[in-house]
Amino acid sequence: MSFNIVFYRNNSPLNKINKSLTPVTTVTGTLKEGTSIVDPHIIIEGSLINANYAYIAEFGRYYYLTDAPVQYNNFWEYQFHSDGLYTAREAILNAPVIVSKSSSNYNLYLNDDRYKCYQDPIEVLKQFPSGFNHSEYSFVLALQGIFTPST
Amino acid sequence: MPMQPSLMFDLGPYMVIPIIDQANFPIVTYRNVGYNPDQLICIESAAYQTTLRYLNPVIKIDRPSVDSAGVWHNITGLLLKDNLGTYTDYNLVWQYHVNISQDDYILLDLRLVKVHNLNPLDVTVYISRSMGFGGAGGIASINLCITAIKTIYNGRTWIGVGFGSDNFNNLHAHTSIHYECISISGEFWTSKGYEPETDIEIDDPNEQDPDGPSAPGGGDGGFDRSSDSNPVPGYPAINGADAGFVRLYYTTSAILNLIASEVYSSNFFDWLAQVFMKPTDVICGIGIVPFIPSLGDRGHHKFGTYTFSTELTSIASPYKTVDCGKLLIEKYYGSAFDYSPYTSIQIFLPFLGMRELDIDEVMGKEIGVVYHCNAYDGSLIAYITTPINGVDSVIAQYTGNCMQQVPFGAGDFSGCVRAALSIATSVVGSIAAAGAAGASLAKAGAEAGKVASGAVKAAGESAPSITDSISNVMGLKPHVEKASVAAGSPGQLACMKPFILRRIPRQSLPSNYMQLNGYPSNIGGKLSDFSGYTEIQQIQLSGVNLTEPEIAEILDTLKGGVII
Repeated sequence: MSFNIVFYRNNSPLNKINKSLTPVTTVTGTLKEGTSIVDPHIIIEGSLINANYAYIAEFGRYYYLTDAPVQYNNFWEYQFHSDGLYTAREAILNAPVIVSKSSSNYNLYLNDDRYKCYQDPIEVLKQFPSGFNHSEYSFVLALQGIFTPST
Repeated sequence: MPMQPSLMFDLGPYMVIPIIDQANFPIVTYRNVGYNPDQLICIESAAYQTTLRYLNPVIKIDRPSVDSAGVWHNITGLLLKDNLGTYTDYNLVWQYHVNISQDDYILLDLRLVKVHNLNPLDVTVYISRSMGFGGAGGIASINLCITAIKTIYNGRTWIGVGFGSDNFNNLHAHTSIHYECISISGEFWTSKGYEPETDIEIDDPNEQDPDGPSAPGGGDGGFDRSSDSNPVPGYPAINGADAGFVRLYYTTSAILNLIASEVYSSNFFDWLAQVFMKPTDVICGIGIVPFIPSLGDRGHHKFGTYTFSTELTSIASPYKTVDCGKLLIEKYYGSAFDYSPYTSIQIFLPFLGMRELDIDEVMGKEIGVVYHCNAYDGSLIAYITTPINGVDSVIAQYTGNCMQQVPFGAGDFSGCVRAALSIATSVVGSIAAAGAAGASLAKAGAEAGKVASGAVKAAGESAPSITDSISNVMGLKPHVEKASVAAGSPGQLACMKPFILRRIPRQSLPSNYMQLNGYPSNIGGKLSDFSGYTEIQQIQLSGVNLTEPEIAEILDTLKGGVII
C-alpha cells in the first residue's frame, strides 16, 4: 500500500497541543505488512535526517518518527507512532474540562503538594501599641470600717 | 407415577447464587448456548448448612437437544455425590421418551430425601439418548454449579420407591426410592403451561434497618455565612466594695507609710486596747495592681470610734479597662501558605503568658486585646477581638490575676510568699493545651505530607520529597514553650505589652515554577480558555476519530500536563 507522507521538523515539546511544524518534504512510502495505523512502519527510499514528524493523509493522523533503521539498498523502514494530541487538537481544545493545574487560571489559596519550603522558617514578632505601664502601678488598701468624705 | 407434560432442561454457564437461607433458595435455570446432546450435566450444590435435610433440585430443561431423528434425550439418571465422593444414585421419577420440538421444555421437580449428612451434595443429571431403560450413559462435559436450591415444599419429606435405569458408570438404581414429579414453576423460568410462582420471599436482614435503603440526598444547606458581632462586655452593676463592710482606697507609698505610722501609733494602740484588737485587724489587705483604679472622693476612714487622721482617696469603681490596642495580621504570601498548617501564630498576654491563636481566624484581620481588671482582688480577663460586621468582637478570652499581695503582718508575709511560689511553679492548662495544639498541627502536617506522596505525578517529574514538602517541614516542627505562668507577683516582672509571634514558611520556589508546573486551579471551562502549562483533572472528549488506545494516550497526556 503506497501513499504520500508529508515530513516535518517538529521543534515543539511532545506535550504541546499546537505544535510548530516546519515542512521538510513529501515522499511516497509503502506500508509494511503487519503494522498498524497507530504504529505504522513505512518503507521509504532514502533517509530524511532533518525530519522527526509526519502526516499521513491516508490515515488522517500526525505521527512522531520513532525510529528509521536501514533496511537494504537505501530503503529505510520508518517507524511512526501516532500523535493523537495534535491530530485531535480541535476537539481537545473545545472539550469541557476541569483543570487541576494551570499557569494562566489558578488560585493560590488552593494547596499544592508540590510546594517546598526551607527548614528555617521566618519568625516575625509584632508588639501591640499599648499595654500595662510600670509607672501606673498602684497600691490598693482594703480597710474595715466606713469612709467619710471630706467636706 | 403421575404423567408429566413435555419437559425442558435449561443448561447454561455457571451461575453462582449465594445461599440466603437454608430453608428457602431461589430457583435457577441455565441455558446452554452450545449444548451437546451427550453432555453430562452435573448440578452441584455448594456447601450449605449441615442441618439441611432435604435436597429438592428443580431443574428446567429448555430446548433440549434432539438427535438427528428429532428425538430428545431424556433424563435417565440422577446422581448424588457427597463431599466424600460417595455416589448415591437416584433414578428419576420416570423414563420418558418422546419426540419433542425445540419449543418444548421440561420441568423436573425432584423430591429427594437427603441421604447423607455431609455437604456439599453434587447432583448429577444425565441426559442421554433415549434408549429406554438401560440406555447408554452420557459423557460429563460441563458442570453447572447451583449453590442455591429451592425447597418447593418446605418440610415435606418424600420417601418412596424409585425406578429406572442408571445409564452410567454401572451405578445401580435404587428401587427402594420413589420420587414423585410435581409440576413446578419458578420465577426464573418461563414455562409453557406453567405459571411462575410469585416472588420468592427471602428474608433480608437489611430490610429491618429503620433508616431504610440508601437514597440520594444532600444539597440542602442554607449557605448562611453571616455572623453576629460579639463586643467586649461591660462591667457588673455591683462589686464587693458595694457591700460596705470593706472600703478600698487608692494610695501611694507615702500615704501608706502614714497609715502604717498611725496604725502603730500610741493613740491607736490605746484605742485598740479598749476593744481588745490588734492593729492588723483593721487592715483587710494591701495589694499592688498594675493600673490606676478609678478614683473617687477624698476623706477619712473611720473604724468604730477611731477616725484615721490621714486623708485617703477612695476608689470609685474597682473595675478598670486596659486597652492594649490593635494589630493587623497581614498576609505574607497571599496564598495557602498564610494559613494553617503552614503559618502559626502565638500571642503573649501580660499576666497570662503565651497562648496559641488560630491563624485561620485572625489572618488578614486586625486583632485587638482588651483587659478587664478588678482592683478588689486583682482578677483580670483578657479579650481577643477581631472585627465582625464592623464591630470588634470577642473570639477568645483568658482569665488570670495581676495583683501582688503586700504583707502587713508576720503570718501575712509568709502567706504572700507561699502564694507567689505557688503561682510560679504551677502548670497552666492553656500552655499544655497550646503544646497539644502544636502536636495537632504536626499531625496535620504529617497527614498532608502523606497525601502529597500519593499525588499523581506528571511525566518526568520526580516524586514529592517527604523531607522538604511544605506540609512536613512546617507540620513537624516541635512546639516550644516560650512563657510559663505570668500571674500575680511574677507577672509584674514580665512583659507589660502583648505581642504576637508568627512563624511563616520560607518557600523554595524556582523562577520557572509557574511555566513548568502551573499552580493549583480547580477551574472549569473549555480547554482553549487556558494557556500555558495545563494539567487536566477531568475532560469530556468527544468527536475524536481515533482508536481507543490513542484516546487513552491523549487522556493520560492531558492529565500529566500539556502546553496550550
